[in-house]
Amino acid sequence: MASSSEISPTGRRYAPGTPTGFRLWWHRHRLTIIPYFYIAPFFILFAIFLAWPVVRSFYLSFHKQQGISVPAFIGLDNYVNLLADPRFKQSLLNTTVYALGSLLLQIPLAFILAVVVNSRLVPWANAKSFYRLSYFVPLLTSAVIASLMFSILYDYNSGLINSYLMRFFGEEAKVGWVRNARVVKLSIILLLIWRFTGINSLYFVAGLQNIPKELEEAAAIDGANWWQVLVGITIPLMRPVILFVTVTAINGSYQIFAEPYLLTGGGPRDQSLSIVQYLYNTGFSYFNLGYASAIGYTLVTIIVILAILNLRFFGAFREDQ
Amino acid sequence: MTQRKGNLSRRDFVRYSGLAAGAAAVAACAAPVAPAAGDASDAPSEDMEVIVEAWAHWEQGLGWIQNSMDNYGFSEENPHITWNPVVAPFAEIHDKMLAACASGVGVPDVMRVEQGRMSAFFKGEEICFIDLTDRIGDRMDDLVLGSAVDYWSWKGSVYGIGNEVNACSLAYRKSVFDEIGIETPFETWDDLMEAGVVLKEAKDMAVISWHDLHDGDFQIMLFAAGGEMFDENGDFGGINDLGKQILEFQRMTIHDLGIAISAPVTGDSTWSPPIYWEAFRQDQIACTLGAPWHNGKLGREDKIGPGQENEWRLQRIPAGFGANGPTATHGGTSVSIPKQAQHPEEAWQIIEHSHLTEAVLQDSIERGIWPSYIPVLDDPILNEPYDYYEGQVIGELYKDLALQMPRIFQSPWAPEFHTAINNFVITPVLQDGADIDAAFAELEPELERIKSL
Repeated sequence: MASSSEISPTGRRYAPGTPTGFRLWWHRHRLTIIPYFYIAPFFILFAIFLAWPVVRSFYLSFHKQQGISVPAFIGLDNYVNLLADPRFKQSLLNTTVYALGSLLLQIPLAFILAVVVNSRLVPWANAKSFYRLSYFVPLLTSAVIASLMFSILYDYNSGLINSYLMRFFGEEAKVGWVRNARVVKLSIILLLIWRFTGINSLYFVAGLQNIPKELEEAAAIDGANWWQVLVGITIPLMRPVILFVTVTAINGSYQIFAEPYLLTGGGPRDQSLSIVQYLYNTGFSYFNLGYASAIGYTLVTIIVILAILNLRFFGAFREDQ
Repeated sequence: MTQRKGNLSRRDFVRYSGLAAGAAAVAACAAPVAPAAGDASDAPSEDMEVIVEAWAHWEQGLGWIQNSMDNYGFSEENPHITWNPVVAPFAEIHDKMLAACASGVGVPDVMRVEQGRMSAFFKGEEICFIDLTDRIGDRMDDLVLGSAVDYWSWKGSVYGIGNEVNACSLAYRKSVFDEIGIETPFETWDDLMEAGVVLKEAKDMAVISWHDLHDGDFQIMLFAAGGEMFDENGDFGGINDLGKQILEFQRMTIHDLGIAISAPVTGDSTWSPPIYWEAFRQDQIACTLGAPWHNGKLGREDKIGPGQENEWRLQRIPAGFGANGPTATHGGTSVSIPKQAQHPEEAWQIIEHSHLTEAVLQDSIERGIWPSYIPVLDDPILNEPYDYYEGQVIGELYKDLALQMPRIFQSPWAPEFHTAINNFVITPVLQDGADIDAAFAELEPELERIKSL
């Protein structure tokens, strides 16, 4: 015969059917625990596919691991070897040139385009939308297609650019856009400008639209001309956007891989080799995983340092922010 | 806020999640215990269906093996064995192979490894593949070893077999040389050089194009001259008088005589992209050096194609350097069995059937290649006249060259060495006319540095 009540381990009496033991514990805590199950898949996937490789590659960067052999601890040797590695230095130089191309050519061009689109030169809203959409198209084009397209444009014998050069300046004017070690970096920069100027311009357009019109109107009433308004009001107020675009452009430049890989394979004579491509080659073509990990962590260090310098340069740490 | 007893804090949750994820990751990364290759106790019985998974970077590379199994009786005799081809782009499939070997997870039964990517597998003390030396046994004598096994061999062990005999030859456009009264074929490189001078003057056409972003031409001429690209220890073997003579010849024809040009290639495809063949269609170049996959059938749409029928011929590599050999090997893709393969015995059965019997002819039927298996080289399929070469029986030439194929060594540092050789020597010398001695002097410490990593 069932008892009319149950006694818990602590001596308390419960009505029949009241959960006890684990069920009681679960009953009490389920609302706290269940939400974690919903977010757990992300954390588990993050740990396996992101956190673990990051930790593992850091570990490997202090080891010699070639092929499928067991890693052997070599301390800082991989990092020391990197300092004497001419290919790493060359790839660092190339990547820095790409970053400078972004900084000195792409960002000013993007800003100019944004100012033009936002100005009375493009008075209709539909035209502004058209330009904004047009700016976005190169980014939607895959790196493979863009590189293929530029390889056709750059072709030495039958490329469009050389055919125009030949038409106007004769046979001697042909340029080995992707074969000549002296011009190959410029060819990559031009491709990057085509691909990324538009998206940076969109960021600037968004920033420009957030500047109150009253400020510009007040300055105009006070006698400021277009240039003075731009330099004295627009650019200072755009500082956060310029900082964002600069940091992302430099980060992106230091992580560039697909365009030089597909267009030139890093050549000729490593003159277009990017750091990430060198990392990839070291890891997968040369199967030197320890050294590749050291390249990866050196790249991370460089990007962090540059990001901090940028933030300081643009006053991101200032109290008045 | 105080923590209630028995409640799970967020910190604890993250900690436990991390532990769970870590355990899962460790479990996932743990190399499965693979059956020892060739262990009979693990071999499935005849009744059990076995699916042999194979990876390659192009469909035909696996398709012809399936067809050889069907057409040459293997599938009938072994109905329980089926072939499961997995194809992915070149870089991706080779990266997957390395990752599979390194992790021991998802390893297929057969990998088709391109020769240029094989050396990565020879790094370190452990090699991913089963040594096939004993399995091939006496049948080594039936193979053109320079093409069939040397690229996939290291320290005396064979880790893969290539089914193509990549006997290099010189293809020349006989019609243009006939027009200017030059006698062909060319006995020596000097003959070709003299012909080039006349050709340049008469037709403003380059006699040959040298690859200045790729060391392939240098490699072919070095092998044919009896030299070594890599020695038995994997070191570069071209820094010597022979290497310098060959390079000087190439440099001179471009820069001093102006009778040769840099090969019209693209940065990402440095051997023979479509624009390379376009230069031949545009009457810019009269000769091309390479293996059968390169110049064996120039009438194909993906080579020169229609328009120059009956104008081309093939000949042995001209003499003039070192041992004056008539040929060299260049390129190829192996079939290799990973040690962690699930069905190594069945994989070997298929390889044995498709590479060491007449079934190898299937690939000749499908792609027009010349097999590295000597007993079939007299087969009529391989000895039909080729119209594009005005009925020349190129099979006879290839058989002759195959039997004189020089042996070569592979190097664990081959990809890095090739890059360094191109960067320090080939490109500066052929593109800018740089000093050869200085270029080789700069190359030596770089090769040592690469080895030290």
